[in-house]
Amino acid sequence: MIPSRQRVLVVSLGLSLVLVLLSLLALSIGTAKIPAREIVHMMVTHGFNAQTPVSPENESILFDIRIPRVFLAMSVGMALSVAGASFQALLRNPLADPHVLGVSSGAALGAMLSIVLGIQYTVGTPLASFIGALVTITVVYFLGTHGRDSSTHTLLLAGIISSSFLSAIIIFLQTYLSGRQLQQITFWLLGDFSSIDVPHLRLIFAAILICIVLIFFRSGDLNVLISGELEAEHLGVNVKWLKRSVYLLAALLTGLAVSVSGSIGYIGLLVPHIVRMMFGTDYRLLLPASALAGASFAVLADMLARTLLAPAELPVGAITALTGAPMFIYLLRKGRS
Amino acid sequence: MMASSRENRNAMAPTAWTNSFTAEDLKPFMRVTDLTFAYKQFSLRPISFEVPPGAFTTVLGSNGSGKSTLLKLISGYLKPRTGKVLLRGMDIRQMTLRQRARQIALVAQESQLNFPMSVREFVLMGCHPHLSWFKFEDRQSLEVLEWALDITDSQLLTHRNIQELSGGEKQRAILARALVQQPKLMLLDEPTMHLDVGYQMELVQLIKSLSRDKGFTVIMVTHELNIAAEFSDQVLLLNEGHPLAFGSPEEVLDEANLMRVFRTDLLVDRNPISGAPRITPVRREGDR
Repeated sequence: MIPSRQRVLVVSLGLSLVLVLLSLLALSIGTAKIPAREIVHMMVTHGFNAQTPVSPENESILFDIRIPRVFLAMSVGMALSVAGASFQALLRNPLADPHVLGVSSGAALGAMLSIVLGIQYTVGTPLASFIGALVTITVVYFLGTHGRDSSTHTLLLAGIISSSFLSAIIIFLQTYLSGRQLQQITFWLLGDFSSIDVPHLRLIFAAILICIVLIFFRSGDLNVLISGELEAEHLGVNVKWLKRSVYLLAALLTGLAVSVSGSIGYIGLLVPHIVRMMFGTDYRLLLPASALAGASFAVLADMLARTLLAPAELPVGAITALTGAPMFIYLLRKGRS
Repeated sequence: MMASSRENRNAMAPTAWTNSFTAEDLKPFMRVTDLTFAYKQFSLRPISFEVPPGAFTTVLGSNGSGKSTLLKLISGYLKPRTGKVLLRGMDIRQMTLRQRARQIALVAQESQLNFPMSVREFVLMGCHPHLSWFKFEDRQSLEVLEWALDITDSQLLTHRNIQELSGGEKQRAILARALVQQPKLMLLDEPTMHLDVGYQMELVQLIKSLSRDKGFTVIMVTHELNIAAEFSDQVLLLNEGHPLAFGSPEEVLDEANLMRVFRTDLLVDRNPISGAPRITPVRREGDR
């Protein structure tokens, strides 16, 4: 199928619908069940209604807990999927993903250091997280790409080694600082959506959206980059500038996501791959579709994490790893044959 | 049979990209002056030559003689140490990448693709230089796409994964992508590598006939001496970074030149059918 504006629009609308339905489901399921009709009613009337709500407790659960949480899951899912798809094009490797490459661990370490050093939370933590992500991808890139054509496996190996090294530092810092009010270690290593801070979340969401739009503008160029840098340049793409800008934006996306949700794995691998199987490789369609599908996937994973073993709550990273790791192995084997 | 079906398809080819020489075009299409390049141990000595519009030029030489480097200098990918490449009077390094890509297409040595991608998606990349910022392909580029798939006999492959194609099929897809670029200059880096003699002849014949029909100029790097002799209007022979000879195949491809470059005994006579030089490797006396 050749992508056209109509096709991008139709696919995006379809995926948006899926996202809305899944979100409604996620909002209604939980210890307190809120019927979908009531949710819609409350959302429509919220803010400019003097009448008493249907149920004040439900309203409070919905607006103070569930909506921010679903919104957080959406933002992070979008950010990680687009970051994954971008790294895949930049490294010409369909197995690239912020988590596998160790970029998420770098971001988590950055965020953690900012908290340890007491840098202001709203801007300081995402910024530190971004720097952590950028430093890691730079190191992994140089470790993993000897000469001009990098082999798939060397790069993955470099990512895995960096990831385990950074995780060790995170664990060390955590033990060292265990008395303080720090996030649980599972938050930084596996990630979850349980800690939310609403005004901060809006800022993060806006920043994520801007990064995605900026990468989206380069989607035509990313298409061409997949076939190699020499070829891309002969098809009119300024490769150096493209790589620099998209690396920066993808690291920023990873940093933003990790600073609010810890290091959730495999979303950036799984989502673009499924989208690719369904709609093809064209980045002009792949990017918006991955953003929307990634948002849905994160909402779904979080819903499962909350409800599977209720009242106990699993870290969402455990859910994504349970589905993502087998997929990774499958892709690795398929790529070799 | 295949040739005749191609001619029929050719008749339906899109009109936007046709053979149209003007007086302007009769000036040398490309002029290379005193081009040099140096990288680590390797250096390219001053090279100068001219290419008339529509000509078929081949670059021959031993391994490591600088053929691919020369091609990348001509395409503007590499920055020469000294000298210039002028394309229709314009310095290639002064053009923007997009301007260059609209005039020059490169068929590189087999590209390594890690991504699963359909042949159609791959060939469609050729539209990229003609698309303005964030646009989708319009009807005219899709017509060119269909034509390029037809003419390279790739129509049946369009839904196949490019990674799963055989060498010959892949080479045709790469050529189709270059054709979709609608170039004025087509650069080919060993396009016949890994192909059997049947595919080799078919591919080069196709390129030659398309260059006539569409009026593009061809510069091809190859190791196939007989194909170069048969198809070229002019030949550039490189020897360890030095331009050894430049001219018609008859002028350049003689025993002395070839034996100097390839350091082996060769017999050069005439092809009884085409009259072009025919090159045959000869086993050394002592071995017999």
